Amino acid sequence: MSEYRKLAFVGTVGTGKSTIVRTLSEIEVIDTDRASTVDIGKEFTTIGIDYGRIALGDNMALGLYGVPGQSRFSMLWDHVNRSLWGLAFLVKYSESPDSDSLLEVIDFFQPVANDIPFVVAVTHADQADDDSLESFCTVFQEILTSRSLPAAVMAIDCTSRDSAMSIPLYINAMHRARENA
Amino acid sequence: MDIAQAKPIIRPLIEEFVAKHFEVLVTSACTEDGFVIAHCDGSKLTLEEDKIAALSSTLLSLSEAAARVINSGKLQVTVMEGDKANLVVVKTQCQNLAIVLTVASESSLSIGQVLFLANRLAGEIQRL
Ligand SMILES: Nc1nc2c(ncn2[C@@H]2O[C@H](COP(=O)(O)OP(=O)(O)O)[C@@H](O)[C@H]2O)c(=O)[nH]1
Repeated sequence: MSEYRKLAFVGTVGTGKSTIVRTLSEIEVIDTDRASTVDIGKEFTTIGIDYGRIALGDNMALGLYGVPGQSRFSMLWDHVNRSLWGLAFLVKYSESPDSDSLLEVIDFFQPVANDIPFVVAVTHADQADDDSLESFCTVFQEILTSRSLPAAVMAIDCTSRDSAMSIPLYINAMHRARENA
Repeated sequence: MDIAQAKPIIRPLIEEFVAKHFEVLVTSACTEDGFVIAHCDGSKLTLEEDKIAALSSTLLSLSEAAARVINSGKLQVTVMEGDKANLVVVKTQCQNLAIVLTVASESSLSIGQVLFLANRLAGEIQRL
């Protein structure tokens, strides 16, 4: 296999981890969805990892890891955090942005100290109107700025391959920019 | 020792191991963070090597977390038993590189037998 890298998607229940791994993957994915036992607004939730893979260019293969964003699963964060190529935090578009889990993830993964390109992806963006999506993204951009985190906030639709691809492409561009710096 | 150095010396061992034991479905060696070092399928199953590496390294890391929680002391083995196949994950070392070694076999080999074979292979890797 060509050069292999790890890209992780972390997000709480229903943010789109399984969907984005499935949308992007070129192989049949591993999923560890289980029926939820509390009402989370959907039937299944990832309790272990999702795993898939895509090729990026001619000589790079990306292992795609989807990991639960609830901090009780932080033993999985520990695991995927090793030798990461990029990290995407998924947050579902809704009227009231919940930012606590983003702060937990930032504090745990320490993308700046560990030199890992980081993006915040606002998912279900296809279900929002432009104005409210923009103000939703602004909330997260402000958190990143307050933490001096040079990361983008991008709105995506996990069910669309083109839209989902913008995450690995953006992270790849960040790597390129560093190499050329 | 790094992955690139480990690959050419571990691969022949794994291939020979799979060729010798026809009940073995797959044998994989990867790093603790899920990078493939060597992978060989038997004749009955074809699997994506990175998928097995992602699964085995995650299983091992969860087992180690569980072992810490129950104060089990050093983790020896992670076992999965199925109707038709069994799988064991053990940790070994190739010089200073930690290696996750996974062996899956048809259930005609008992867990004890698979574990015996896996440990013996782990020992061979350690002596490299
Ligand atoms: N329209 C739309 N639906 C999405 C998007 N992301 C996820 N979904 C849907 O939301 C539900 C939960 O997604 P899932 O990937 O299972 O979330 P997970 O718990 O993070 O793995 C599924 O029914 C998906 O089809 C998105 O960006 N747009």
